[in-house]
Amino acid sequence: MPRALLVPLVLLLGLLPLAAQAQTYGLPTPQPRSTDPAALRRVAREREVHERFRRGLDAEASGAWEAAAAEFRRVLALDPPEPKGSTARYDLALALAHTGHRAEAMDQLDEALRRDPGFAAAAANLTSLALEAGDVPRARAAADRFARIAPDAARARYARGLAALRGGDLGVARSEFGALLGSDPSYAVAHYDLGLVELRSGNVEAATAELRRAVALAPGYARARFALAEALIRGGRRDDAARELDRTLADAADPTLRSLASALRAGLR
Amino acid sequence: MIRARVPWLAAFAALLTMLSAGGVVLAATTGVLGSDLNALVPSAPPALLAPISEDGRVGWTCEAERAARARSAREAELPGAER
Repeated sequence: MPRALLVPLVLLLGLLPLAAQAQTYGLPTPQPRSTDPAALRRVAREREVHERFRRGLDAEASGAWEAAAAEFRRVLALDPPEPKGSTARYDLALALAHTGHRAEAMDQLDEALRRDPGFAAAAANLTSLALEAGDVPRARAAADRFARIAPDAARARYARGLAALRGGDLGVARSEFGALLGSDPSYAVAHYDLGLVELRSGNVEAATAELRRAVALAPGYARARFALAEALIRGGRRDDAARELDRTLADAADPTLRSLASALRAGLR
Repeated sequence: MIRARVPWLAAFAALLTMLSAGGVVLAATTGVLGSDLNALVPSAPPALLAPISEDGRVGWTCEAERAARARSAREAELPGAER
């Protein structure tokens, strides 16, 4: 290597550590630049909110839900402004739901939505929790609110359809599952639910068609195959039903479903 | 008098037996041809969406809010087909 190139190269390598030393890291909250006690208290509170959020989210990521709930409760005690207030309630609700405190979790999500009425994720989780609790009136109210926030959302349509189906409102259920399939026709589960709506409405042919679509999209979908067998029996096609039940018995992982399919298959012999 | 009633009682008992047997058969048939639709349960509720950082839900980087507003089932993290 020519000596003329060697000198600049050595100088350049010598400067590298200086570049590394010059690298700076941002602080989570601004450094205090005042001796005013009120300003110092405010900065300290902001720092604590930041730190509690970080620890709460780390705890949720590792499944330590009790510890997470304690962190988010402390955040709420510090009464942070929006969006931190509604977000802390959302995260606290997750921790509460995982520790068996579903009712309090739903109350926290209600409060998050009162503070931030456009919070779609909070409305989504509130609907899921009400459905899990089997509280159909609350699930329907939450799903309606979710649909007002995000009318085209797949989750809003699915939740609204599911709550309506559980509540026996077959018209709304049909409309929501139909709309969901309009934007996502490959979703086998919505075909299954729409099949149930038609079966409960006494529309055996429409039910059979939907359930056939469900099992065509997801051949291992044992629950839909069992429902298809039921629709076929009601349509007088017992041989076809027997074939679907045999396949259900081969595919089903749920023992209750296997038992139901087995009883129905025995009745066809 | 008693002897005269015995064939009638026997015939009545036989008739009841036949009717109840017919009822059992009918019930069994109905059970096969139309089992309780309540056994066909709707699909599961969607799983809870992910936690949100202190920056809040605003912005496309918020995974939970994005899933809540997604239009496709996969992006919305809706339940899959159950076995």
